[in-house]
Amino acid sequence: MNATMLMQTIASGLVMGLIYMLIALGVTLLFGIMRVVNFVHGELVMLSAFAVYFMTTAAGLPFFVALALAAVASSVVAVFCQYALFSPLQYDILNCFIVGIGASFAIRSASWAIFGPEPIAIASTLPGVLNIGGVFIAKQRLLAAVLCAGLAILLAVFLRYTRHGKAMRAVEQDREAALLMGVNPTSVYVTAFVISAVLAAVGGAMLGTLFGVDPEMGAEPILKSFIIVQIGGMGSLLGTVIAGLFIGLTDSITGTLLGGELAFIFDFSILMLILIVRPRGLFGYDA
Amino acid sequence: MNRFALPALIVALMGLPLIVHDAYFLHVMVVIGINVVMAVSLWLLGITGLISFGQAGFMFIGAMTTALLTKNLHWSFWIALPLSAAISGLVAAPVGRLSLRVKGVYFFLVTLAFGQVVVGVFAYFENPFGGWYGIRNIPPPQPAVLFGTLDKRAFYYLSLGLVLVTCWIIYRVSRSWFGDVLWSIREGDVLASSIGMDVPGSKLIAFIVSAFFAGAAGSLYASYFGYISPLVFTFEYSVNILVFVVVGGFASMAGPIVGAVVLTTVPELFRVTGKYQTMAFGLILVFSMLAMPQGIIGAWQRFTDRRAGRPIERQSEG
Amino acid sequence: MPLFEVQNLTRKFGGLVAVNDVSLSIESGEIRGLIGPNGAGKTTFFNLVSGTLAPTSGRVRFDGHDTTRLPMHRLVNRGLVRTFQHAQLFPGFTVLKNVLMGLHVHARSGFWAGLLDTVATQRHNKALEQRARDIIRFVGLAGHEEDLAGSLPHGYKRILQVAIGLAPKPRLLLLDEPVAGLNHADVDRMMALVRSLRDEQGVTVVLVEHNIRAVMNVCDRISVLQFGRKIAEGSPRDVAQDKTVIEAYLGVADDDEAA
Repeated sequence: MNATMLMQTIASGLVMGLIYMLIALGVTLLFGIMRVVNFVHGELVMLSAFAVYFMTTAAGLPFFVALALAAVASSVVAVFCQYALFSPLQYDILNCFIVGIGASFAIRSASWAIFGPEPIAIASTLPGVLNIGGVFIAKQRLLAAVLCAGLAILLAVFLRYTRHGKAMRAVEQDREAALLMGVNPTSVYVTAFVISAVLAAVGGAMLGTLFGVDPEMGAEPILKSFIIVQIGGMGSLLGTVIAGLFIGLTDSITGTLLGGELAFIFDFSILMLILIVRPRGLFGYDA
Repeated sequence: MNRFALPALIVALMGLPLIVHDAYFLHVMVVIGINVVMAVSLWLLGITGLISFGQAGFMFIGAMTTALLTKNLHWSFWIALPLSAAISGLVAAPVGRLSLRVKGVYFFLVTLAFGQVVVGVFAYFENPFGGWYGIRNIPPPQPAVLFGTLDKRAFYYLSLGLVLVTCWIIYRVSRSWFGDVLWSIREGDVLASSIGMDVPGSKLIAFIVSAFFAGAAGSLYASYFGYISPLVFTFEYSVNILVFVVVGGFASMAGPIVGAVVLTTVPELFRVTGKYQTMAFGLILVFSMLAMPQGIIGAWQRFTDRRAGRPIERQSEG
Repeated sequence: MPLFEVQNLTRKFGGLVAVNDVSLSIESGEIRGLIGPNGAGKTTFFNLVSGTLAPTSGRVRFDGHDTTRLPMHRLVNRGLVRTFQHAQLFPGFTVLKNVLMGLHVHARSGFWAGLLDTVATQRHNKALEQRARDIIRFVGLAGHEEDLAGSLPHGYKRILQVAIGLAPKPRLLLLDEPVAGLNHADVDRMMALVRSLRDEQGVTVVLVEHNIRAVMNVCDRISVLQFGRKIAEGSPRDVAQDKTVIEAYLGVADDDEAA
C-alpha cells in the first residue's frame, strides 16, 4: 500500500470513526447518567435515517431542516421508550438491556416489513470531491466529519459549562448527592435520553447519506458502539472519543488490507485484550 | 406434579412416533428438541445471574465441528457428537475466563460480540468453513437405513435422547450443592465469596457446561438439517433462546422447557417465520419483561398458590 | 504464638493513606474490639485482612501462616471468616438455607459431586443440614428456619449474619459493626451471642464497632484507630482513660455512644 492509499484509508477511517464515535457517545452518556444500556439506540439511528430520507425526498425539505426534525422525532421515540420500557423496570441495567433488545428487534422487523430490505440512497447535500494533497475526500464525508466532531465538542461544552450540563455530571458522579442538592432527576434523565437520541439521529443521517438507508442499518453501529464504549470505558466521554476514532481507523485499515469481516474480529480481539489488561476500559469506572 | 407425571410423559414421548407418522410433526419435534437443549443450557448459566448472548456461537462451533468431521473426514456421527460438544466446551474455557472478568451488562456485551466473531470467522474463511455459503451435504448419522431416509423417526428418538440426557444432567446439577452455589452467586455474590464459595470458578464451570450442551445441540442440528450457514446461528437466534427462558420462567428448569416448546410450536402453527417471527419474539420479550417477569411457570405457580391459599412467595430455587 | 498477627499493615489510595503502619496481635480465645472515630480506617483494615483488598505493604499471619495475599474463599477454608456491615444475606433463601450455604465449605459441592450424588455424598450433606439447625438453635433463631431471610426484622437479620459466619467453623470471626442500627435489646442479645461464641464455641472474635458501650462490656482488649494509625491498645478500662483516645473522640459532635 503506497502513501496515498494509506492517507486515503486513514482519512476514510477518521470519518467513520467520528460517526461511530458520535453514536457511541449517545450510548456512553446514557449509561453514565442513567446506568442504562439502551439497545434501542441502534434503531434510533435507523429511524432517523429513514426520516431524513422521506423528508428530503417526499416532503422536499432542505437537508438540515429534515435533520433537525429527525432529531426531534428521535427524541420523542427515545423518551417514549424511557417511560414505556425502562422506567417500569426501575432502570435496572440487566432488565433494561433485555427489554431493549426486544423492542429493538420489534422495531427493526417492523421497519423491514414496511420499507423492504433494499437500501435506499439519500441524495448528497454536498456532491463533489475535494482533493487535499493528493487525497480525495468526498465533500459529503467531510461534512459528516465536521458535523460529528462539532457536535461532540458542543456536547463537551454543554456538560462542562452550562448549568444543566453540570447537573448531569453531578448525577453521573453521585446520584444521591446530586438529588440532595436539589437537582431535578426527571429533567436530567429526560435530557440524557434526548441528547443521546439527537446524537443517534445525526449519526444515522450521516450514515444514510454515505451508505444508504435500510432497516438493518442500526445493527452494526450499535454493536460497534458497544465495543467502542467498552474499550474506552463505560460512562467516559473521553474514552469513547478516543476508542471511537481508534476503531474507525483500525476498521478502515484492516478492511482495506484484509476484508470486511476481519475488521470485526480485529475489534473483538482488541476488546479481549482490554479485558485482560484493563477490564474497565481505558478511562472507565470499576465494572 | 405428582410422581407419575414425569415418567408417564417420557413414556408417552417415546411412544409418540408409533402413533403419529406425520413427517412434519416429527420434524417440529426434532426442532423443539434442539431448542429445549439450548434453552436449558442457557438456563443453567442464568442461575448464576449471567446471560450469554453468544450461545448461538457455541452452537455454531459444535455444528461446524460435526460438519467437518463427518463430511470431510468421514468420521462417525456418534463420535462427532460428543467431540463437538467437547470442543465447544473447550473454546468456552478461555472465552469464559476473559468474559467473566466483567460483570452484568458488560458480560452480556462481550458474549454478544463473541457470537458475532464466531459468525465472522466462519463466514470469512470459505475454506474450510464454507464462508457465507455454509456447508452442504452434511451426512446423516449411521446407520443410513435409519437416518438417511425421509422417515424422521430415528432423528426424533435421537433428539429425544439428547433432550433427556441434557435435562437429566442439568437437573441433577441444579439441585445439587453445586447448583446451590450457583443460586447463591445470583442472590449475593459478595456474600457467597465471603463464605468460601469459589465464585469465579463456579461461574466458569457453568459457562463451560452450557457451551458444551449448546455444542451438542449444534451437532444434532448439523446432521439433521444437513446444511449449516452463518445465517442460522445469529444473534437473533441467541435472543430467541433467551426469550424461551424468559417467557417460560426462570425459577425452575420447567421454565426453559415450557418456553422452548411453546415458542417453537406456536410460530410453526401460525406459520410465522423470518422477520415476522423476529418481530413477534421482540414484542413477546418486551411484554414478558414488563407484564410477566416470572414467566409462564411463575404465573402458573402463583395461580396454584392462590388457589391453595398459600402465601405467594418469591422462589429462588427450582 | 498469637492466632492472628498483623505487622505494619499499610494501604494507600493514591495520596490518601487509609491504614498507616498498623500492627496488632490477637491471642486465641480473645474478644478484641476495634474502635475509632469515623474515617479511622477500621473497615479498610478489615478489608485488608480478609482478602477483600490487597495491602500496599505489611504482613498478615493467621495461625502461623502468611495470609496476606490470600483471596477470601481461601481464608474461609483456613478458618478466617468475616461478616459485612450491611446485612449481607441471601434475601430470597430461607433462614435454614442461608446457614446451610455457610456450610458450603464443608459440603461436597463440586460439579461432579453434584452430578454423581453418591450415597456417601448424600449422607454427608444430610449431616450438614443437622449442623445448620444446631447453629440456628445456638444463635437463638430456632423456629424461624423456614422464614425468608429478607422478611426478618433487622435485629434477626444481623444475628442470621453471624450464624452464617459461624457455619464454616471459623477459628477467627471478624464482625463488621454487628450492632449497627439495632435497639438496646437487640444489642444486648448480639453481645451475649458474641460472648457465647467464645465461651461455648471457642471462636476468637474481632469486632469493629461504633457502639462504645457494647464494646466496653464484651471485649477483653480494645485497639483504637485514628486516621489510619493505631493510637491506643489495652483493656477497656485503660483505653477509656487514655488521653489520646478521649481527644480523638472529642472532635466527634454526635456523641450519644461515647458516654
